[in-house]
Amino acid sequence: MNRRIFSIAFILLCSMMLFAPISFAAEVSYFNIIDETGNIVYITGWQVKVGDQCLTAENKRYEVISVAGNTAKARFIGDVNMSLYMPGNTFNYAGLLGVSVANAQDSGKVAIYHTHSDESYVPTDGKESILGDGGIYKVGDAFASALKAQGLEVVHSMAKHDPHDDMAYERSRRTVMELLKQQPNAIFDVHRDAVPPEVYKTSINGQDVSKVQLVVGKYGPTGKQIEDYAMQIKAAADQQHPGLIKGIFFAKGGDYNQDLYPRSMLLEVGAHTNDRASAEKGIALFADVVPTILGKTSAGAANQEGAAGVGTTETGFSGSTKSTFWLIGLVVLGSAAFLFLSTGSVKEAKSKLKQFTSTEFANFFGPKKRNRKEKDDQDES
Amino acid sequence: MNMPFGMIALVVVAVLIYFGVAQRILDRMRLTDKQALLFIAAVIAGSFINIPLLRSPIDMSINVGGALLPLLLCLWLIAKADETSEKVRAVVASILVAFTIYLGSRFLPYEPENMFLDPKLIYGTAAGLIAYLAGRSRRSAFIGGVLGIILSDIVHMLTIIRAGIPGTVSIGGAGAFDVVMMAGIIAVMIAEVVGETREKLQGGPVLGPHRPEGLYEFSKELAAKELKKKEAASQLQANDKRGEKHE
Repeated sequence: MNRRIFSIAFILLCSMMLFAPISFAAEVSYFNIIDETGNIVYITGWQVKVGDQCLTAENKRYEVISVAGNTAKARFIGDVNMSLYMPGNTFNYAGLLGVSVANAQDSGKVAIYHTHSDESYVPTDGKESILGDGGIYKVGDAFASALKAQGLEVVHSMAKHDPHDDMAYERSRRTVMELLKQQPNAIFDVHRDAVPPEVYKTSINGQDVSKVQLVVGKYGPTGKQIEDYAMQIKAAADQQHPGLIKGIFFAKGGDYNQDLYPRSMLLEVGAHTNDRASAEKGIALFADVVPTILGKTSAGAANQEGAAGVGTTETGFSGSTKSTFWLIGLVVLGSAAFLFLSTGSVKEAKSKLKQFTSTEFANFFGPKKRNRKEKDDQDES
Repeated sequence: MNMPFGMIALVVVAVLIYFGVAQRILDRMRLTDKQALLFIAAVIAGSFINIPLLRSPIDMSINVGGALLPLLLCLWLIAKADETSEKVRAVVASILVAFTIYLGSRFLPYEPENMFLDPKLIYGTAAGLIAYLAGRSRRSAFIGGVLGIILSDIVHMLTIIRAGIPGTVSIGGAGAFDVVMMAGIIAVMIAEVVGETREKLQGGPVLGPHRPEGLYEFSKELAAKELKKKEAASQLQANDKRGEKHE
């Protein structure tokens, strides 16, 4: 019986290897997010779900309430006052907590990688997907050289994570950890979107460029903190290059490895329908904003130096603080629920908790205590 | 690194919670509290070591903390299993998990805009459910999660070699935070919750006078301990009094 089960499982494993798909062609369709009056407020690649949110270029925040076909109806949440998110806004007691951020002034290091290694731009690259060598790497190169021109140190990972499937983020997670070992100040995952060209097309300083969309993984307790970071990026970018940021998409479905580092951001530079040159120009403009976000500029309103990052009187608690509360809250709630579930009654749960706190870790201190007791006994005798 | 205080606090809290939970899970894997802590320390240290396995046709490496140590723990758990059927179930569960990941990565949505659940959770949950159904044990859930992801990495490697796609395979490359460890941990949590819920739905654990003999009761044990303490204290008092009388 065991042998039969085992052989079935083995055949299954072999079949996976044999029939593993080679082509992962992306289905190109997109979603329009409309407001209550039917106006299109946001366009994004592929499907959106109820509960997803977006912040438009004009800083209006919407939440998707229903999805029918390729149209998602959204509820207007409110106008976001981006000036509150300017990196210059400091917490009242920032001075007290400033010690924590006092460190040697380095030039700043930025890491860049590409989870979807195949993403390409049809007008320039010929195809929307080139496995292992997408046009997106050239956009990454343009970003890297623009950052270097700003005096920042850049680590651009050429690691490949194909095929373009659901495990790609788990593979790029390994790249992120490799990059984090080099202690960057910020890390960017550069992608491209899949929508009609006009969604990303714009003209800044007289040149045609592709806009940049920020994607925040709302999934997981660190989402709040990344949301804050995205708002700061948009606030800084709106001041330096108005119109460059297409908006922020708050996706519920994943954390896109943003849980690994507080200054992680997913960027979508143009769509497959835009030409790559415009995307390269767009990301180069975005590079101008990076020193401001990192607090590497010498002075000015947008300097984050000394900010304690725990919130301001105007905005309330910061995303980091909210995320910390979330984490602790989840652990407390989860433990309480599990204790109740596993013991069956509040009384038993309380006893188990007591037993846990009094005896579970006793063996770490046990020998010491025993020694002391023995010593006491000796003294007495 | 010019990081605000709030961010640092968040990182510290998140790391402490993650390793705290991992420790609670690992001490169910035939490890004592101390061994579980040592294992975590080894995983953290091992996260910085990558052992190259292949150079051509693609780069393949295995991370000591992220994959090799969890793999060895799983193999040890399988070897230590009491019955052959338990061993077979654990291996079968791992293969089924690998198959689920293969199917999932093929057919589940993969764009940030339309993922409905983080892959780490999907595969951890799948591993937990499959391993629980196959073996009804936390250990096989852990084995299913860890080996399932490692197997799926091997499948991925063969896929890209066959398709001639340039790529790298770094098994467990994200160290302690790799999906290998996370899937193992989530799988045990799922098995634990499913198992306890099932027991609860079936009417257990029975409390009060009809509780089956041998079923652990924390309150009872504590009550007995407290009783012992009181007895000891009263005995001590009695001794003291006796001592006074002697004087």
